[in-house]
Amino acid sequence: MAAMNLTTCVDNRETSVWGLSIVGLPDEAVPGVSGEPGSFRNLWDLMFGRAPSMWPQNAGYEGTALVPVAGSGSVATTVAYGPDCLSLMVQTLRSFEHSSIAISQPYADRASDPPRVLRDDLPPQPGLVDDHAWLKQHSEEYRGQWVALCNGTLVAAAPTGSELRRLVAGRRGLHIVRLF
Amino acid sequence: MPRIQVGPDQPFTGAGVLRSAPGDGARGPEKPFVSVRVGDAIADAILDTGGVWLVLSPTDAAFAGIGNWEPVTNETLGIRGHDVPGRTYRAPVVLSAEDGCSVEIEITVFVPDWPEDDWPLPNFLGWQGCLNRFRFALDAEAERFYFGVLGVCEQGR
Repeated sequence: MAAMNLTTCVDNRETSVWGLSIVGLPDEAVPGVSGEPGSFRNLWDLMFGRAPSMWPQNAGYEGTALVPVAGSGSVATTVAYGPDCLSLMVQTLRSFEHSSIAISQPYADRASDPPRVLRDDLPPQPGLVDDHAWLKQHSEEYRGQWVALCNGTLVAAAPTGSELRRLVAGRRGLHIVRLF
Repeated sequence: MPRIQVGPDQPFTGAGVLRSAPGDGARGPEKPFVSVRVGDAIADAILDTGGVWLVLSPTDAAFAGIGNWEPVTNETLGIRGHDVPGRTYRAPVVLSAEDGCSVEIEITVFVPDWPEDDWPLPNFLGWQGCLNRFRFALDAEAERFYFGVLGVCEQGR
């Protein structure tokens, strides 16, 4: 059974580049692919590269590299780009019913995973009490705005979230509140 | 009057701020907000016992730096009667305490695919996939949110 692993990701929300690594595939003939014989490399090209309609604007398929690995078949690395390319590739793989392909990487279903408690002994953040006091005192004054607070002090306020981000660019750890 | 005491083996380990405030732009009814740290920022979210995951506004997601993380899936989530497309992430989120201990929990975060400044709703800390991992209680007068985790902490994994 092949295992698929996410190998690389660069995501700036505009152009995601994903590499899907399929480990353990033999580069052998694949029967039953639209009547077209070929290797897994061809299969990948068929699934991802020959269906331009599956890709939205600014997305596409770069190609697949198949590298033999001693004792474990080959590693196929597929690279595509675009905001939804990962999802499209996973959907395509799932729609192709070939017994030797299985998406075993847990990320494919991790959205439904139960929560995991990582730490239950982190220190308190007493500054939130001061933020809370500021909000009680000033919420009417700043209603309809976004505010950034730090230890009970107003750092910045803006009518939109994007404007607030511009005002406090580079500052970390701020308490961001939208006052409805 | 009989009192119900939480046993010594069922403690609340932290107490956070409970903020009661309008939850939409029409000065609607007040909702219970609590504070969570996500990535590089702290956000306030409505305790939503009818919701799922943590729904985080595009602005708060940007402050948290989630745009640099790996999305898990694309999803469409029903929020207040609307089908909202978005992306999910698995992210460590800190339930912030003002007293006692804060708790870090890995949960699914849903970020709407929506123009940042047009997103009209607050953040929601949902029951399924988040709050159902906690024992919690609210004190509206003291404005406190008491919480303790259920089950075993996976610290050190």
